[in-house]
Formats: sequence, structure tokens, C-alpha cells
Amino acid sequence: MNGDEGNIEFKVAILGPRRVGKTSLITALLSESQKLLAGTPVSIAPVGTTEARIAQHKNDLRGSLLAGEFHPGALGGTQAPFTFTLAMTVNKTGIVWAILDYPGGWLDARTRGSENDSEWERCRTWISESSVLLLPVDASVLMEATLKREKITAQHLLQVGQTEELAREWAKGRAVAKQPALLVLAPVKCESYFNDNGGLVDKNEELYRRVVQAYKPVIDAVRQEMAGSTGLSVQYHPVDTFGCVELQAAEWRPIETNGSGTDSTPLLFSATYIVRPPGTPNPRGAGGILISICRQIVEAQSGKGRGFLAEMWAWLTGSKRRLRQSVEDLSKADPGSRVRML
Amino acid sequence: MSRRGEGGSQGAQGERAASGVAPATYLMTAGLASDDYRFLGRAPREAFWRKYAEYTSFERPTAILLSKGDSFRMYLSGILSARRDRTKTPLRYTLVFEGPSRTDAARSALRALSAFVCDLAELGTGPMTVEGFGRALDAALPEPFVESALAAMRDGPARPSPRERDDAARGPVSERGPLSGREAPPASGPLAEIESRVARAIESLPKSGPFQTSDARFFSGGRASLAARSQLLGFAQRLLEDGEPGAALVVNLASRDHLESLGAGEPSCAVLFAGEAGEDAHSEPLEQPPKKGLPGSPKGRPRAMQLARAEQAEPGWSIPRLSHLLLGALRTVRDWFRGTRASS
Repeated sequence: MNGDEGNIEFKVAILGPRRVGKTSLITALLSESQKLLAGTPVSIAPVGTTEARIAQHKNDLRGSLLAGEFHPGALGGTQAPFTFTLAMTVNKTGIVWAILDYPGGWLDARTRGSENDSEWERCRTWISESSVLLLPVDASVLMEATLKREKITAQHLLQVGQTEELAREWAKGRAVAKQPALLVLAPVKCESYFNDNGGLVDKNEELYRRVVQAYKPVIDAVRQEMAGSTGLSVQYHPVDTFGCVELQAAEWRPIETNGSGTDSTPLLFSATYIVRPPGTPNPRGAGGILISICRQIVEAQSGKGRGFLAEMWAWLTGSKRRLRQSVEDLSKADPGSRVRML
Repeated sequence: MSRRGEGGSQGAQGERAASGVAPATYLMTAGLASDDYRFLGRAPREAFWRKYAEYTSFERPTAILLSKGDSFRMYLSGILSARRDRTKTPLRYTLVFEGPSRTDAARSALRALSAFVCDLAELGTGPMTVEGFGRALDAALPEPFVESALAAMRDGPARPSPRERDDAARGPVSERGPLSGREAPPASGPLAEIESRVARAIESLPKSGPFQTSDARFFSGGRASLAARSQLLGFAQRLLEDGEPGAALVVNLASRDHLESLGAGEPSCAVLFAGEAGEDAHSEPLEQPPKKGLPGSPKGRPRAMQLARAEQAEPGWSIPRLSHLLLGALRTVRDWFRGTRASS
């Protein structure tokens, strides 16, 4: 707890490969949380330089959308870790959600670079200390893979193997500390597979099936480590990160290998999106994540959870009654029909 | 200022001997295959720029110049290349320089910083525009060369174990390169050419200077102000060519509210706000503490700056100073009496 500012910090970890859109997911989470809290005494806002960082991201997104054709790659990529801090407050005191973003390539030791080893250790510590583990999944990579070679490449691109190892480590830490754990599978860029946010096609069942199938090793690993613990919740939260784009074309191309490539050589995936008029970002699905986190905090009250979350609840029952009430209200809110418990 | 220009004829060995730091340049970029950003060949021993991670987005133009007096380290990032990866993502360069101050290495670093800062003026035309420095690097490091260097990295020797790294790190500093042990692939093929190609790119840049000079130990301003850019470069010149200790920073997330944290612990510090929007990016240079008559003093004076000001401007409560003050007070009273007498 940060006594200086009267705030309590709640760590959230993200495990996602490069270019999956971790920053976009955080931006969508903020935007939808603001909608959820509209009309309540509680507000959620970026703190410190997070505000400028999100503004930069939004500007990039707007610029990309204005062109009428959207390339997720135009948003660049994360080159160094950055902690996004979002404060949910009443009268300047409240809960600070701290979300660590880092280069997705760091999941793989071969592409991390030795100069990043110590920083990666810090990221791992953060992950192990987090109550919530978010796994963003590129929906288009999974959905547009039809041939065997494409499906193999999709597993490589999603870095399921590395994710499994780190998720296992996270669950082990949670189990040893007897802390509750919330694992969220969050497919992103889902606009083209749902018809409840401006889209025309509904492929949400297929998306669900593919995500669960691809991430079964991760879910199994976490369940194994948390066997016997009652505090594990595994949830599925598909998110329209932008809400105003539609997949136009997906391409799987072989990487030029000077003739040395084989059938098992991974392919290169690229997707192009068209912008739905009027081109205003309208994310959907991320608000459910906030609701689930609030639910996890409230459950600490009933004795299901212990340690940090129970402490947080005790803190909220003190002078922060309005904030507590808001967390309680949010925990009872409907997370939407997209959300599934696994 | 008087030391500017010294050491220009020293070779690399001489430069290392003078300060214990050999001049080195490191280049980070990515390639067609959508690999993550990596240093090509050698990598700096310490990621000193990480200290500023909360104040700047390294994907965008950022400069961090730190001088200890006899040696310097400089990090430049967000230099856009015309190259794209296969998903059409624009690629960037990051450069890291280190070496002894007051040498050719320092002058080369200043030239690179000058081009980098000048390009910031054009940032308003669009963050995706490739500017002069990016074009110079692209010319010296054409796509086929970068791809061959990245391929050499991928096919390089296995990474050492943590034990091997520790053993290597225990060696004396002078024997350690910026990369310890076997971390660096053998300097052969394209990887051996990285430094010379970067040097060639820097030599092709316009000569730097003259810059606006000032004795201010602390100042901040916006990247859109010509005076602020010039003053930052003048300050960097003091660090690199005069060997003054301090920091010169170009950051894109921080604002004036963060000046205290940015300058903390530095004997002198200059900050250029490089955000794409906002008042700070357009602000004229503002010295700390503000000179008389300069409007717009920021809220509260940064603690580090207060301390530095105390060192710089206030000699402290020593006996000579107390005597001086007492004498001054007596003179004022005497003059007052004289004036009173005169008027009566």
C-alpha cells in the first residue's frame, strides 16, 4: 500500500507475444472502464506519464484510422518495459492498477538479447507477484490459419510454449503463497468475428473453440499447479480492441530462406483491415476484465481469498466506503455475453 | 570551455588510457523478418537508459546523454528508417555511444546528437517521416546489409550460461568489452562493419554548431523551439567537449512536473520535451532558477536544482559571508542615516 498518496497498488501481468497488441488492450481497458464508471462518484484515469503514453497511442491509432486502411503494424511495437498505471479513485484516493507492458519478443530467450536479461528478471518477478494474468491472443492469427503449416506457424507466433512455462511459474507462486489467481484469456482484434459491435459475421463460437484448443496446455499447466487451491478462476474475455475495423485480407507467405526452407519453415502472417465508417474507436469486451478483477477483490471478503486481496478489502472497508461500494457494484455488473468461465 | 578541442589527435588506445573507457558505438534495429529489436553485434554492458523508462517512450525520439566528466554515454532512439518489415511496420534505429570526453568520439557523438535534435524540429510534419539522420543511416546501412547482419546474429554462437557470464563479468573493466564473455558473436563479416558504417553515416551529416551557449546549470524547453534546441546542444557540447559532468535529456512523455526526478542527483541537467503535442513541446528555454524578469517559473523548484543552486550561488553561512552581510547591513544603515540627514 502506498501510504504517501493513500492508494493501494494492484499488479496486473500480461503475457503476450510481440505485436499482439498489448498496449492497445490496455488502452481499450481504460476506455471501457471509464464508460463503466460514468455517472458514479468513482473515476478511472491514467496516472503520471501513462497519460502521455496513452495519448501517443491514441494519436497513432487515429492517424492510422484516418488513412481508411488499418495496419496494426503501423502502431509500432514496444521496445522497452513500461508500467501503465491507472488510478480508480474517489477524492484522489483509491486503487492504482499497475500493468506492466514489455517487448513481446522477450518471452523468447533467443530474441531477448543478453542486455535485457536483468530487466526480464524484473518482469518475471512482477508476473509472479500479480493476482491477475492477462493472456492477449491475436484472434486473426488463430482464425485465419487453415492449412497445417499455417496452424504450426500460429503456435509459433502466439508463443504458446513460452507462455505455458511462465503461466505455470505464475500459478506455482500463487499456490505457494496461497493467493487467489485470475487467468484471463483475452483474444484481441475480435471485430471480425462478432456481430454485436458493428460486424456482419458471427464466428464467435469458432474463435472460442480455437482459443481454448490452442491454449489448453497453458490452462492445464495452471490448473495442475493450483490443484487443491480454491482461488483459481480461468476466464475467456474476447475484446474488440479497436471496434471500428474489419479484417480485409490475411496472408501467409513463406519467409525467403535462399532455398533452404522446408515445409516446416514458419510462414509470415500479415493482415490488412479496412476501417468501418465513421472510423471512431469503439472497443468492446475489455470492461468485463475490470468487472472480473473487482469480483476477485470482493470474493476476498468471503474468506475465499486471503493475503493481499483480503488486506485490500479491509482497507476499502475503512474510510474508502464509496470506493468500496463502487467495487462491490462493479463486481455485480454484467460482464457481457461474450465472457465465459473455463 | 578552454579544454574544447583537446585530445583530438588521440587514437582509440590513447582515449581508453585517458579515461578507462574505450570509445564504442552500438546499433540496434530490426529487419524484414519481424524480429524484435536487437543490438547488432556488441551490446552495451549496462542499459543505463532504462532509468528514464517512465519519462520517455523509447520507440519515439529520445536522447539520453550522461557525462561523468572524463567519460560519457549517450543513447539515441526513435530514429525512423525508410525500411519496413514484412508487415509494413516502419523500422527504427537506436544508437548508443560511449567513450572518453574531449575526444573525437565525443565530437562524433555531438554531431549525431545535433542531427537528431535538428530532426526533432520536423516532428510536427508527422511521426512517420524519415528525417536526415535516418536517411544517413539508411544510406550507410542498406537493407541487404542489415539483413545479413541480422542473419549473422541468428546464426551466431550460443548464449553463454549465467555462470559463464558472471565469470566474464568479474574480469577487470579495461579487459571487458561492452559485451562480456562470449555474448558478442565473433566480430567478422557484416557485424564487424557496424561501427565503421555508423561512423560513415555520422560523417555524412552536416557539421554541428555553433550552438547557443549559456552558463545555466539547469534548463528545460520544448523541441519546437529553435532556441531550446540550440541551447540543449550548447549544453551537450559542454558535457562532451569540455568534460563537464551532467545530463542532457530529450524525453517525450515527461513534463515540467517531472523535472525534479529527471534532474535528481545530476550536477547539471538540461531537458528538452519532445512530445508531439502539449505546451511543453513548444516552450522556450527556461533556466532554473529563473533569471530575473523571465516569466513562467514552473511550480516549485526541483529539489536537485535547489541544492545545486545553493552550491552554485550561495557560498553558505561561513564567517566571511556573515561578515560580508553584516558589513553590508551597516553600510545600508549608514547610508540611510546620511540620506536622512541630507533630506532634513
